[in-house]
Amino acid sequence: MDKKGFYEEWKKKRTVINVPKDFAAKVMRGIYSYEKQRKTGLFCRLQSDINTVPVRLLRWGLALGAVGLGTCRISYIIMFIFVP
Amino acid sequence: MINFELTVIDKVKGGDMNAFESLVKKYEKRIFVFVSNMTNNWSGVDDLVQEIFFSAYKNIVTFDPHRGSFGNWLYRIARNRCINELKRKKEILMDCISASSDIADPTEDLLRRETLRRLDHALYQLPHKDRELFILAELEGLSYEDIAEVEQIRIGTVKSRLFRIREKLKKVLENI
Repeated sequence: MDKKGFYEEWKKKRTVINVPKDFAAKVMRGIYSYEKQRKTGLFCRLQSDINTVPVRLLRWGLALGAVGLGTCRISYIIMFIFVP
Repeated sequence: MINFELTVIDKVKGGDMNAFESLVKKYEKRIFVFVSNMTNNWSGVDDLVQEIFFSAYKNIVTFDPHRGSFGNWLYRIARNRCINELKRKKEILMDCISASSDIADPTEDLLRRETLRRLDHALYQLPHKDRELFILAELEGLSYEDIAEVEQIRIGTVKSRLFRIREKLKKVLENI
């Protein structure tokens, strides 16, 4: 084989790639998960069947409640550290 | 074929995410070849290619068919992701070509291996921009017009740069 033949062989080998069998399905799983999160995520503004105003208010309420409780807990711990 | 693609893209833009799967199936092989050659990574590019398709899905509303084909738009996303990846990671030069061959003559086999190895090294010594051009032209088989669209440069520039790259690789072959 001459050098041009080797060059052609090299080019051909560089294009031989094994794409995983279920690659498209894997990509789609990622997209479904993203879409689900986008439509029903905690602070999303998109409207969907399970993202109505009361549900969104409830989520915000729970989130703010958790932050408030966390703050109280941290204050309580700090008080015990610094106050003899 | 292009009309079919545009119909699919319109469906995806309209919220039918299942339609996107046909686009992934159509372009996955080409993007794998491009990304593997750009990053010189032959086993761990799945995640990177997945990110490229994911990014294409998220930004598909910005795709304008009047400004170019979907394939070229996808190559542009892939190119930008590869450049980011190459900046982030230091390149590891690996010989992707398997050494096995059915050449009986040991001298010719040695010459063959040396040629392939040197071509590999020559490809990865090219600057990123030149490497992109070479991969798109020689391995992906894109036309000068398409490459100009992907790279967003003039056709004349594509031709002159490709000529220079080919001359470099020719020199590599001549020196063996």
